[in-house]
Amino acid sequence: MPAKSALWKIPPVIWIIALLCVLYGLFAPGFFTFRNLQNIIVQASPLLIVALGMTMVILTEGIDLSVGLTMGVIGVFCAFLMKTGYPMGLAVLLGLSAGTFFVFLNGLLVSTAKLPPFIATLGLGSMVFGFGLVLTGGESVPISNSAFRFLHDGTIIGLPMPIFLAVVVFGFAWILMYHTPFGRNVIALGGNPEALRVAGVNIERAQTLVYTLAGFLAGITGIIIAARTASGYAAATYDWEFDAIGATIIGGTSFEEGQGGIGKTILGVLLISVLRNGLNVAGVSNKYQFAFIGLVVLVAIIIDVKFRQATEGGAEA
Amino acid sequence: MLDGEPIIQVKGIVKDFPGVRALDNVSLDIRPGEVHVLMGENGAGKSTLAKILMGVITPDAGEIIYKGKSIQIRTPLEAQSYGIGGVHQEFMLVPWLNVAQNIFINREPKRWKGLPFIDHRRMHEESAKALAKFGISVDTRQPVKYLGTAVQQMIEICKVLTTGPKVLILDEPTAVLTEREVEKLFQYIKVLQSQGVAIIYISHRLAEIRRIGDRVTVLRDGKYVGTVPVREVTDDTLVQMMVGRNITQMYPRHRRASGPELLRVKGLCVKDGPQEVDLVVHEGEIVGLVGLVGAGRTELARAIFGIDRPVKGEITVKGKPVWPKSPQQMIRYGLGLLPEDRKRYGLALNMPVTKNVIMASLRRHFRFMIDSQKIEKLSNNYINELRIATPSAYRLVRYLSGGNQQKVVLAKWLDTESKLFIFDEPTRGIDVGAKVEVHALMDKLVQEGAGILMISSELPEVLGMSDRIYVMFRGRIIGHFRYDEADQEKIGALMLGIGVKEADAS
Repeated sequence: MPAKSALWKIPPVIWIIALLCVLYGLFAPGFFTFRNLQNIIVQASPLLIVALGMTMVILTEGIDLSVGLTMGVIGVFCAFLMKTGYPMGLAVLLGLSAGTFFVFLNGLLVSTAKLPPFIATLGLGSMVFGFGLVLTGGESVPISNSAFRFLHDGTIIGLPMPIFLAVVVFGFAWILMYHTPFGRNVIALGGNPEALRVAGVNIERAQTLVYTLAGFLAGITGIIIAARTASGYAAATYDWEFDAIGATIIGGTSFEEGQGGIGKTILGVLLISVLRNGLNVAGVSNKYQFAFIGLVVLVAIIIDVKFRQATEGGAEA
Repeated sequence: MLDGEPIIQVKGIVKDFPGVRALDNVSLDIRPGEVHVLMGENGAGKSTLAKILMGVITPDAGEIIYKGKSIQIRTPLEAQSYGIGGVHQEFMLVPWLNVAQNIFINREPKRWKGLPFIDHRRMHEESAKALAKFGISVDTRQPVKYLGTAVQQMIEICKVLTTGPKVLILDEPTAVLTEREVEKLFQYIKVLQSQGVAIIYISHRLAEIRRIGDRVTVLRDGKYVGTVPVREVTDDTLVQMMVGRNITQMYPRHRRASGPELLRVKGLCVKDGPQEVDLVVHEGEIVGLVGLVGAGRTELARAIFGIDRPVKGEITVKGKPVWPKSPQQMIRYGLGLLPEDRKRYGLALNMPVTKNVIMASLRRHFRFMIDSQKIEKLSNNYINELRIATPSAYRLVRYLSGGNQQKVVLAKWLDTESKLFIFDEPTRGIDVGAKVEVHALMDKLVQEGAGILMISSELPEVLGMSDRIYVMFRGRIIGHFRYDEADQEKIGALMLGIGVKEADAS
């Protein structure tokens, strides 16, 4: 029965997204409007950018628990620089560099000091967050620069900026992952770093590079969010690593052996974005949203893992 | 073929690892077009030497001379630049990269010179071509994860061969290959030889060495023992060079009349495992249990020992019926299990010998507190009695060799005063010298009235050590021999299920 087997090949994430859409269509009037659907994509875009970096880090059997805080602090840093009179271009550049540098330090701690990524990134994230709080006294720093706000509100060739940036970043990440030695390093760092070492690759440097790139992507995301809220606020994105990790795992990337890839992370991002957006449109209070999103993400991951065991079990034997 | 200047020489190589000198003043020379075999027991330093030549580890002292010039090999890339490459003993493939990506790891052909973009088409074409030389046609876009170990090993070999090596190091390449692939590999080695490639071949299979080796160098405990032309040396001499003494008998067995029954298993069934198994072990007996991997031997052992619950059947130990519920319970009945995977199930690797020894007999040693002096004395007794080579009773078991680890597992069961042992592959992965010692210990145990059920895949070991032999096939016992009625052909055929009808398999 070819029809059935074709249906079975569709990853369960797509079914879950479809189910959510049907439910929201029934219970959240206004969900299926062009405006809202575009809105979902706009909201999904920054998450995709940061999730791509997270996917790469997880493929190396690592994790980055600092991204949410780093993103917020980059926003603060940009806002602070512009407030003190730096031109917007330079502020963005410095903000990105600072974020990349923080996560580069993460990379060093993991690859060279051999700290477990959990602890290294958690510790550094906390330090960076502290730095952000000190810089602003814990306050939100408003941004009035309209050129900066263009990074979220503007359009380019008809596309809202976040979507445009996400497409560009995804294309860039795809080429890097699947057409250059960088991607091979990512998969091999998780799968069998020793194989990489005997092939003559400096694995410490390769690993640091993966974290650094992820930091750069988190920086871009942090700036988009600062542009969206027209402010820099250290705690603005404190819970984003959950979404980024969730999207990665729902997308089928595993914490082991370098299994997975960035392609399906899009689906994970889409699931989380649809879920959040629908809850907002349906007017579910923020308090319940947290619990609900956590639940759905866990269920999605369980279904996906079971599904992969069922479909791949045969191939492995 | 054998004359000519050596392409590579090592002189006085020394390499220390924490607590051991892996290589101690080792020298040898390799000539173009020869197959130079490196032999030695586990831990003799063969793989260490191979890794030094491949630039994976650097020696502490000594000199490497390449075509008459002294060189240093600090990284794998430097080794490659001299045309030195090899297949490691360990698995060096990345499971989720595809076949071609693995073969060309860090050497991918590029689309444009100077830019990092990989030319996938060329990579796949060349990979397929390299594999085709060995008659292997797999989809090179498959992750290697999905391929069998034999094909994976051939991929490792293609990985080196596509670098066009001048010196090719093969570290036990045939361990996971089937007969057909070994044949292809040996043919190809001959081709490489005729092209002047020098081959360093690490193995301890005498038959292989005879077939392809030109000269053989033996290492023992990190020291150079000697180099001899393969044609001029006997197997006995080689073994003696490896072990350092004469092994008169691999299977030191003194068979005696068996005593009363220790273990009886009747109609035992395990879910997805053994079915309707009947067997008996008497005092003073070693009972061999053979079968192919997957025949259900280990599952049977686990069920008898109470790790997995059987679904039905009867077990009696010394005449008393027992229903195995847990290993703790079976230990109280005097059972001991030396598991197949001793590192996972037999030992606490990061604990010292002392704690491993009392692991199963803790109850007996625990009064108010554990008397560590008493435990040390106890451990030292076992260390002497079993001749466990360890600098002290407090050495972490992790650092002992395979044979000595196995002896620690044995000491643990001796300390529970077990009378009935299940040995699952007792000598797998341990070297000749230690093998003989483990065999001698098994003989001693049964002399003193113990009974042993021995699972083994090595037929010579089964035939040499057992009093009786059961053959298992697809979960059922399909044959039962006294040692003097059994031979390799009969048992081998039964193991493969030849001449067995499904109906009378029980």
